[in-house]
Amino acid sequence: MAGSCDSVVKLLGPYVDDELAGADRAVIDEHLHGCKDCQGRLADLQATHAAMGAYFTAQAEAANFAGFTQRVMAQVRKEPLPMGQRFKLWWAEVMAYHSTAIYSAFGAAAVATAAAVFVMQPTPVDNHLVVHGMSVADPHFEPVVMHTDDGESVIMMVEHEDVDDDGDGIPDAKQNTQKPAAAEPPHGGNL
Amino acid sequence: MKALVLAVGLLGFAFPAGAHAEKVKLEVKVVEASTHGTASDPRLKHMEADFKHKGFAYSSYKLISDQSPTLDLKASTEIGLPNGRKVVLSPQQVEANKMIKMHVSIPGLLDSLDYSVGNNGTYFLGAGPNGHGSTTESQVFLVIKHTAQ
Repeated sequence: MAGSCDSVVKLLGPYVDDELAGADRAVIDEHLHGCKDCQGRLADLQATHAAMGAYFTAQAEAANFAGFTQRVMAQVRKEPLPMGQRFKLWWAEVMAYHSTAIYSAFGAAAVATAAAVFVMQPTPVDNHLVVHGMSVADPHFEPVVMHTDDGESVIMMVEHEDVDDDGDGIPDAKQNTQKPAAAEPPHGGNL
Repeated sequence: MKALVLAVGLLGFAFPAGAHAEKVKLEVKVVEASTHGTASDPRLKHMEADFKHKGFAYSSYKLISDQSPTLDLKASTEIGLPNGRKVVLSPQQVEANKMIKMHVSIPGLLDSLDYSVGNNGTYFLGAGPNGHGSTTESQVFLVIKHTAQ
């Protein structure tokens, strides 16, 4: 007699359900041939199997599937989930199916942000001014270069006091009765 | 992989290799500074503060015009001034250290002014009195900012 009853009993269920491979099935067949106890167990199992099948078949035939879809849909929650839960669900689905794309997008966004910060950062200001040459057309004026506290240069055109166009012996600028407005006269820078 | 390609592309955009400026953007404000009145353009607060700190007694800073021409090297632009003069500005060269060489003239007042200024650098240029007063009473100023492009 092939196999012990204990090992065969465990396989009787799959045997009845026709789920055993050929070699295992041959072992059970051989054992059943010589074991009355297991033949009885098999008969009980087959009877139970047949009864269950008949019961569920009858239940299925008695079931009323008319309007099944409508009844299911009627049970579906009509109120939307709170925003937080909906976002969690959405995010879980996105991460489940598109995590690679999401990580790539975040990486690209980080690089783009870094590049944008670099590009958009204020360009350094260099107010350094070097005058290579200057030629004044009007002898009444004299250029004076000054520098502000911020390092910016001011090239101021001030009247030249020694010019006497009218030939009266008095410099023209001194005939101007208007007083200079500067609190202190500008002092020249390097030309 | 796509992200890597994108990153490399962006970095290439951010650090253009061997970029050499061939244009200069000028921002030219024409300002009338005067001892008459106290009205000052809020866009000239910086200039007003600098000049007051320097000892100028101008009490009014009026913005006459504000132009931002972008010029090729050796090209020039003319800007009219309220005292009937005009200023001619011409970028000559952008040096490797981004210093910008400029040639400026105000016919009848300033035959030529050649200078170099740092990139994004600003300076003030007096352009003679506005009207018949002295320059200490009223003067047209140019506020010129230079940016290599």
